[in-house]
Amino acid sequence: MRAAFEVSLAVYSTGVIVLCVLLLWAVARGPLAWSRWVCRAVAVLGTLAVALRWAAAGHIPMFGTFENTLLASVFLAWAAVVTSLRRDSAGAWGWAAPWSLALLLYGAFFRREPLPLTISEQSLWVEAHAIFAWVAFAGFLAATSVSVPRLLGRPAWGMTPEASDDAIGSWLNVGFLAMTAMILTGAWYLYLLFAEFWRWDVVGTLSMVAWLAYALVIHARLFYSLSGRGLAAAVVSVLPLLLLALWIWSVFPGTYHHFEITLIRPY
Amino acid sequence: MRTPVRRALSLFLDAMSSRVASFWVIGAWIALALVWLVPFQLTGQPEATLRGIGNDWLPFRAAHWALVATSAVCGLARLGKDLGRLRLKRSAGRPLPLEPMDSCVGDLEAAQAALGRMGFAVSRLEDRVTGVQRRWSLLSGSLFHLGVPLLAAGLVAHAATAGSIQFRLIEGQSSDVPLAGLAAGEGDWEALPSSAASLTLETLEPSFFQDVLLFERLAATVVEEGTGRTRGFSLSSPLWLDPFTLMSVQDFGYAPRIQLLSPSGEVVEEVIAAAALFPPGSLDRVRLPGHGYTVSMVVYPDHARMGGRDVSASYNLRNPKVLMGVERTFPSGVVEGRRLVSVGETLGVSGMDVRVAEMRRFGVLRVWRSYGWPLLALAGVMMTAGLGCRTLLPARHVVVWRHGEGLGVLARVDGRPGRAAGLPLAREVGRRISDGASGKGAGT
Repeated sequence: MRAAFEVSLAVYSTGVIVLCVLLLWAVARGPLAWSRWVCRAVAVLGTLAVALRWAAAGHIPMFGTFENTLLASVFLAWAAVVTSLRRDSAGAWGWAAPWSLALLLYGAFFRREPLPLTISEQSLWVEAHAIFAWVAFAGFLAATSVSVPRLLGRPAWGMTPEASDDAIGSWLNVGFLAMTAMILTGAWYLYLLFAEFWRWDVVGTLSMVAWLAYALVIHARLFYSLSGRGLAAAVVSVLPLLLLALWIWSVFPGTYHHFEITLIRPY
Repeated sequence: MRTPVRRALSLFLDAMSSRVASFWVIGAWIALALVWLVPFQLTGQPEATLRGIGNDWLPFRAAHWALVATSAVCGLARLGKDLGRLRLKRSAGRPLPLEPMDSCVGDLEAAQAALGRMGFAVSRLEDRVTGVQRRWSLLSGSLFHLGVPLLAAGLVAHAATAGSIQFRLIEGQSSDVPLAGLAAGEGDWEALPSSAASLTLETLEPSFFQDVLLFERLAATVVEEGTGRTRGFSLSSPLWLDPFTLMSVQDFGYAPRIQLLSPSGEVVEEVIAAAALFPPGSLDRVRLPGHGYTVSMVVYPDHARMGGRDVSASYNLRNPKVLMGVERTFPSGVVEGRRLVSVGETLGVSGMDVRVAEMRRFGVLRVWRSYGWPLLALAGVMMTAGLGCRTLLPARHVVVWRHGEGLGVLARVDGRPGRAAGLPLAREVGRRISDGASGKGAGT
């Protein structure tokens, strides 16, 4: 099972690299019509890799940095597939590829052997918490990815400016919904584990900060019709908070979200 | 005197309820957290310090309550507006839109019929037809915003009513004893709540992955003394003792049953003690008070010999051996013995035998209670449901009016400002009206 996973991971990673090459091609010479089919294939391959990892480890791949980078990158691929279903966003596959590649490269620096979930992680609440986290991540990164070209003065992937703003707003809403669910499921599980609903842990605090920052952007869009470059700049400016909130645990051991467990043996 | 008070009140309400309030309140919260909390978290300050800042420091308290207040005011203000928006015909007398998103052939009757077929709640006015779909979703914003003060109320109720206690229970032991007798750990209760006071710990099953310190399982079962019912629980899946009280197992340890035997093999003294013998290599002592012996132990739960020394090959209790030392001080001097023994094997000291007859386990159990959780759960459901409706099932509005030779159509999706969101809907409505007018879509 583990060998099958390694093969599928290699194929999936190759697919992501191919997508990145296609993106470079699209920037230089214009998009190839079949690129989005490659994206769909990559999303399927990624899902296969996740399934095989699940079978090898005995749980949803969400334990440690390596597994989370894999899961997050596959969510990104699917977010790109969903976006590209819109007729005016057919080129949206391009945004996921660099993020997915960056995640896979980052994950490669961490331990890869499958480990069972430790007891504090064995709950459907944790699985829901992790899945909401990566849906939120995919949603906010999608919004950011549409925002970057908008910020540079041209709407992404042939969208009209209005469609571009609408896509940003829609993905912000998806990300915000998922992040809300992530925080709430996390708080509930914290109660089941530690008899309290909130701890001033760095991951929780940064998640709350990022959540509130996105709330500000959504308010500005709804009530002040923030659009165009202003909207794009606001979305891009929250990105560092999002990355810190969702990934700081992988390098900072001073949080109970840290699951790069040191394997201590008794001899 | 009344005027300044009124003015102050008015200013306060403006600041709280206006759209500006949410910006400065959220901005202040973010700034505080980034400047005066995250740096302390990153430098590894103790949890109590962080709790002191986040919960009790005045600027943070003010920021929390401002956040709650602005959400409450916004939620209530929105509720009034949203309830008003639920009524149809609210567009009567309003100016018609200048530019349609889509044009189609047909008349207002055809538009009314088409919108009805599409599932819109339709309102026919003199000069237009308006339709709204998923009207109930208009309340989603209020639902979300009012969830925030409810969340705060839940947290206050939780803080006011929460209590917990941590204690040790050895396999086979009942909690029906004074808490002090259970080697009580941290907590703020002096006695167990009644729902937790008559349970016997039947089993405790810790297991570790391969040879590493990675808990794969820590499950326990208790028997209710009154009913004899067996109930299982674990760290991640606590046991609901009653609707407000939970119990979980937090940790475990070894509780050896030590026996002192006479030369004829009769048990003359027995002690079962929760000892600090985990992880392997930990040394602890247990006294046999009746005869003055002290037994020191190091447990190798999965004994092996490696490199000429005794070790444990894993953290699991597979092949337990105990490095046991026994000593007793007599007026004539100290007698002692020390040897690696298996469970059940005796160690002789001054004519008596000592053995670990059984290696039981004890669980560190936590019982806690909160009367605030239902409010918090309700708030969570309200917030998620509100956002979910707004994001996934937003209300959709359509206006169709006479425009030129045909009809103009304008559509809007709630929560998605701008023309782009409404354009596909306007085109769909226009197409359906045209089809209906030409007889193609009738009955669909």
